[in-house]
Amino acid sequence: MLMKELKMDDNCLILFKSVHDVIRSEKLINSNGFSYQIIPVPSNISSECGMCIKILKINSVEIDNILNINNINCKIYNK
Amino acid sequence: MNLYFDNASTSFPKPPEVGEYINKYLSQGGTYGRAAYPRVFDASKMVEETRELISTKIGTSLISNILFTYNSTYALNTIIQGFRYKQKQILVSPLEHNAVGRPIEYLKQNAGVIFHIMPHFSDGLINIDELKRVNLSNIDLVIVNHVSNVNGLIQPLKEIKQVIRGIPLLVDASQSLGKVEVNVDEWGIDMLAFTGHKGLLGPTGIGGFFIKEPDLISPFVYGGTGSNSDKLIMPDYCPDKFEAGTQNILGIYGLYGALKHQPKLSYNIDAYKELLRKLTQINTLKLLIANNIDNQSDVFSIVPLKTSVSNFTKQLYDIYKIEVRGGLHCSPIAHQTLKSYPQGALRVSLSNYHTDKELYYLLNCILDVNERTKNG
Repeated sequence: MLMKELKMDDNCLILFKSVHDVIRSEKLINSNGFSYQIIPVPSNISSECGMCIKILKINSVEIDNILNINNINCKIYNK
Repeated sequence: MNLYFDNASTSFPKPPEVGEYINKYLSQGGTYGRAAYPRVFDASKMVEETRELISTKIGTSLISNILFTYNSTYALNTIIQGFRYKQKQILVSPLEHNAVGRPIEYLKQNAGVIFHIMPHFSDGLINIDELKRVNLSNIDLVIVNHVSNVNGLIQPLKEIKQVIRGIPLLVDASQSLGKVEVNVDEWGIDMLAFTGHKGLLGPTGIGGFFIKEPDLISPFVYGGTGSNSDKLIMPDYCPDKFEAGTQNILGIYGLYGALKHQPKLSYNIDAYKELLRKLTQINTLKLLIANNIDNQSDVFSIVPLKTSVSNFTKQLYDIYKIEVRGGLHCSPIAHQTLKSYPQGALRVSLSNYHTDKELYYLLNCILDVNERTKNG
């Protein structure tokens, strides 16, 4: 399974401009062992690329750093 | 025995995995982006993995700057017609295919963009020393066919870029990718067009291009990208800027299968050189090849001097079932350079699957048809 179910409600979203960046990010998040879920971008947030990645809020700083190091254009959205 | 020697048109056979991945897509479905359910995610991931494989193949770290189109003609048109010309002058190599020749002639007739042929030797090899003496101050764009689809000559891209420096270099890699080394980052190539169905051994209908600076060109096709959907303007970032509409995902799956299973060369390079050497000794045949064997790829052409190209080609098939292509190969500029215009030539193009035995058989078939036709 590419997607792992999140068990906690305390989560946030990573938003991307392009599907290309979603796929690259998923690969990095997955290979670093973080829990995540690919979900549609809620329409009240953005009209961007259709998919986003839901992660645990406690991992957001670390994941954000990894994506920045890899020059991935994204933003963290906290509910 | 593999008697198909027309791989410069389209390669055959393909690795079996090409069909397997195409079937996989047909059974699984899914599109690129637009939603987030697993079927879409899996298809999108395959598109991106294929993009990454292409980036490795052409030698760039700019993965998102590889854009999928339907073939190299489509890619070349995207670049040539989307390029923002200022001085309206283009420099092109002397062995261009009509995939470049026709768009630049269209621009000449409709937009006043003039093209000039680069200085070259008799085999079409660009003369670097002469190129250094050309006034390049008014040139917007330089276009070079990396490997000729007529005589198989390999152009020295790195040296050309060193001479033209900051002028954008567009490379047509239709015949080279999968056959000869390509390294866009190291050689400083600005743009490169490729197709999936020739040297890469993928299916037809899938190709693309690389562009280092996406701002150099405007999109060729406008439409839905699944991103920035609230706006009527195209996204200004790659790959979305150049990938409007649903891509050929079926083709991308097939290309993935090909890229993951590229066969090694099955024939000995010395056997190929010996084939060329023996053919050059026949005085009733004119061989179109590179003057220096080091610049030769696995494509070459033959002009029969005692009969027509069409008759020689037909006899090769009728008697021996050898499949080669006769004619102008959509390359009047190249044939004019090589003095084989307008009659054209009979082209032989190998596959990595060919064996020494098949090359030897081909040689004997050509020699026999030459004997049958040399007296007119």
